[in-house]
Amino acid sequence: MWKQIEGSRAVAETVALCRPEVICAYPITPQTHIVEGLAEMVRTGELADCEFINVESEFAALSVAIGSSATGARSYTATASQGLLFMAEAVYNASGLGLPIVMTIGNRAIGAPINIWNDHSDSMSMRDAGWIQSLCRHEPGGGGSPYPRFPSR
Amino acid sequence: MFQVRIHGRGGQGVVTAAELLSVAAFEEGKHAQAFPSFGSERMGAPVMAFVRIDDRPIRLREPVTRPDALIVQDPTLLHQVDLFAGFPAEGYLLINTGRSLADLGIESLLGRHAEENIVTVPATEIATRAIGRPLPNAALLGAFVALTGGVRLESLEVAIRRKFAAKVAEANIAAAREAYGAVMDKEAGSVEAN
Repeated sequence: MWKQIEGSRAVAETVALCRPEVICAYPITPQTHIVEGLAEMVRTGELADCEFINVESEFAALSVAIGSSATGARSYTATASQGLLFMAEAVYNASGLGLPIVMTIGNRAIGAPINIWNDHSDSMSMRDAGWIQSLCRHEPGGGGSPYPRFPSR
Repeated sequence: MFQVRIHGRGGQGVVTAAELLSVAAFEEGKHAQAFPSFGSERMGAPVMAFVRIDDRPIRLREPVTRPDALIVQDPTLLHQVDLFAGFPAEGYLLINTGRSLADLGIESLLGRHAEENIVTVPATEIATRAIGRPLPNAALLGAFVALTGGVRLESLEVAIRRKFAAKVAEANIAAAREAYGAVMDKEAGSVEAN
């Protein structure tokens, strides 16, 4: 089924399909709509058996994910830019402990000056932190592949 | 490909307008994209958003520099921002104002632009009446549909219903229909005058 939705909403719906059990995050542009969407799904029960934990910083967000993942709970967080830098110490702990945490990075330029536009300086700063990074490209299905046609709706 | 650029100010719903238009086009089985361009803005700062609509997949991911249609949500931007950059002579122009083009002082800006492609609509007044708040989006999109025929009014209504709760959606739809009717009447009038 095709939908015309905001990219962040698509990320949230995809994460929900993976049945996370713990989500903790601290909002930062342009990641905010992803965790907002997930928080709403947890609240309405659309995403069942999942706890959304509000934290006071990105460092706490990943630290909570480390704790919950260490107990065996499927754990997710998301951040971008300065938020990832603030997580840096915990980023290495997560990979060093071999914890299968999934994190979305809404790639955003690192300041100063303050900048909400996109680049890869945030995720590249963690290039050697031991996480597997997969980067999405713009085109669904990859460049050159045939696009499925819309089904009649 | 049909490309639209929407100019407004932070808080006026520029981003939502672009999204609604893309969803309306998608409802008709078309490919569509919508995205804004702004810095770390605050309420009132100039903001723009872009929409692309096509029968084929859209691979461009860059700002619209040569718009087929321009929507100006806030006429106070007319002399502050280079709204008409890349705007072709045959492009559609929709301005949210109750004033005439001469009053706005943009005749010189427009040069030899095709007059039949320019429409003004008092979208903020329509919205204030219909919705109770000065949010001109739905009214402007209704007028846009009448001016360009780019999407159908029914598709716009579907997009509005999907975005807003029932009561707010119906008020916005009323605003869209009123502006749509006003532009259709205006165009019928100018045809008769010819």
